[in-house]
Formats: sequence, structure tokens, C-alpha cells
Amino acid sequence: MTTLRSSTQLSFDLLAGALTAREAARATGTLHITGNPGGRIHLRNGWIISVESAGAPGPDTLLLRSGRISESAAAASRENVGTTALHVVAMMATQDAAFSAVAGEIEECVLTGDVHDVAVPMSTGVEPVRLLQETSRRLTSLYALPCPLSPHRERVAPTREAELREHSAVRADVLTHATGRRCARDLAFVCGRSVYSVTIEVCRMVGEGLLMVVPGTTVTTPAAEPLMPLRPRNPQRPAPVPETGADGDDEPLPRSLRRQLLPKLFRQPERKQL
Amino acid sequence: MNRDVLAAELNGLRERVAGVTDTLLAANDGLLIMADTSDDIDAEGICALAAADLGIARRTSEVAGHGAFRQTVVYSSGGCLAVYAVGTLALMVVFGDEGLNVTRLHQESQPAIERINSILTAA
Repeated sequence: MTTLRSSTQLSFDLLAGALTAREAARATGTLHITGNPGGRIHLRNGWIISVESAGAPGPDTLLLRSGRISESAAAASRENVGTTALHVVAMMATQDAAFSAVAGEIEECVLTGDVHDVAVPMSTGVEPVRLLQETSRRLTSLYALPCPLSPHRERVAPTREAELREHSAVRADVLTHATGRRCARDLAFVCGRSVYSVTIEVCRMVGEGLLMVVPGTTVTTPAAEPLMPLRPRNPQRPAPVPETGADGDDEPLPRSLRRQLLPKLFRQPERKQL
Repeated sequence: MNRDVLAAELNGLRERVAGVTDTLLAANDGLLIMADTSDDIDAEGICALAAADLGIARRTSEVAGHGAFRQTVVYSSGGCLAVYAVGTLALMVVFGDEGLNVTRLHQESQPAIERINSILTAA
């Protein structure tokens, strides 16, 4: 697992360098994290009010999955949740997004002055150093496990042993959705839980033999024969001239069918009487 | 046409872009070429719908006079579905969850589409 650790260390260093740089101090703007999954850190006067990442469920997803807000009117029903609860969910999502971005691959961090609207910001911002400390703690906890896995890379499926045991709610949720096509990040989105907690649980379950890492997914094609290259359709050829029969009848339809079909085809629509 | 190389392209897109859950390749008439999808997805039905979607979007793009058509994205509360034109003869469907970064998907998919197109049309 040296590769995972060294790439994560590089990502962490890039983020830490950008967040503790002189330009970030008291800055208002957005720190764009490019990479996979990447993300955006929203800064106000040097304080972080939100972190978004494609690698972690946002506050709305967490609230929707937990049933606290309805799908039809997420923005309106958010008001019914309460300020404290929203702050807690926003903080959870922020810490999770930072962990997820660093556990992936960060290519570059660029601070710009553009200010974007944040759907659910934290009511009190967090210091960049505190967020980095929390991210570091989470990464350290992940690597302390016997089988640390990347939240974005390894896809898992249940083993036979998993069927024989009783499981907690979190584990049962993970086992239900672990189809072999999902990594810890995907499972977190489906379950509506934080990526960090799902990743830790997945790592433990792999260590206990309840989950196994699936090497690759199967691709299906409709036929077993080799695929043929695609070609544009040939330009339309002129319609073939029907051959004249021996009896001189050049009509393609038999007489019996002609008598039945032609009156139907050329029937005039009935006019309505005024 | 190399099946393994095509499969690697579909898999690669899913690996490189967080949030991509399933991918499909189909001819423009809606016939499935290849699917990297979960069992609960009706791949052939999606291909047919995507072909219709692409046809309408392509025509709309022509009427609007905005240049060459590229892609159409259907956003839903639980995720999104992007349909890309692969040359003039095929299409690629990408399923994404709520977290998918569509901008990154567009960036990553363009070189993949070019490679897929060259594979599909190779003799």
C-alpha cells in the first residue's frame, strides 16, 4: 500500500501548501482543486465556509438520503431542518469532501477571487489549519488499518462468508449495495453516508473477509461474434424495375389482393355535412 | 473492431472520472454495441432512447445554428445521463450519480470519444 500512501502524501502537501500560502490568508474566493475527484474550497476572509467535491456527498445528498428533506423541494424543506443541524451536516460534508479530495489525486490547486453561491455553508467558518489537521487525522486512521483501500479505486463485492453472519445497519447497507461495480465513494453516495466512514467500514470488512476486491468489471456485447466496423449507409439505389411476367401482368400484387386493398387505400374521407 | 480496446476505453472513463457509474456504446440507430452497466439497467432500451434523444438534440443544434453538435445531458434528482455523439455513426451514453463533475466528464470524454470513433470505423 506504499503507492496509495505516497500519492496521498503528495496530494496532501499540494493542498496544505495552497491553503497555508500567503495569498490564502484572509482571502475571499475559491480554491479550485483539479484532479480526480477534485473539488472547490470556498473561502471568506480566510475562513473555509464549505468544501465541495465530486468524491463526497454534499449536505443536500446527506439530508435527502437520511429523509430529513424531501426530494421535490430540497431548498424549501432545508429551512425546516434547523440552523444547528444544518451547520453540523455542512461541517460533516466539508470534512468529508476534503478527505475525499486528498485521498484521490490532486494535480493542482489554484486560488481565484470568484465567489460562488454555496447551498449549505457552515454558519461559522473553519480555519484552514484545522481542516488540514482533521484531514491528516483521517488519513492516518485509514493507513493504520490492516487493509487500507482507496475510496476511489477498489471496487468491492460480498463474499460467501458475509451471507452467513448478522450485520450492523451500516454493514448491511454496504453489503446490499456492494455489487462489485462500486468503490467506497460510490457506496457512500448510494447509502447517503460519509465517504470516510464508509471507506473505514469497507477496509475492515475486507480485512474480515466479508468483502473482496473485484479486479475489473465485465463488459457485455449483444453477440458473441466479432464486432463489425461501422460504415455509413450506401446512397439510395434506384428502385429495381419489376420483371414482366410471361402472361403480360406487370403488377406486383396478385389480382385477388389488388381488389381487396386498392379500394381501401384510395378511399376518400367522408365529408361532414354542414 | 477490437472489443478489448473498446472495453478498456469504457472502463478507463469510469476509472478516471469520479461519479461515472455505467457506460454504453450504441450505433446511431439505437442498436447496442457494448455495455459496461449494472444488471438492473435495460441497456437496449436506454440505447434506443439515447438514439432518439441524440437525433432530436442534433436537429435542434442544427436549427439553432450553433455549430457541430457535441453532447446532451439529462439531469435528474438522483444523477445524470450524458449522451455523446461518437463521430456521425455512433453514440456513447454515460451514467453518473449526484456527485459527478460534468465539466470533468466532458474534458475526459472528448479524447476517449475520438479513440472510440477511430476503433469503431477501423477496417
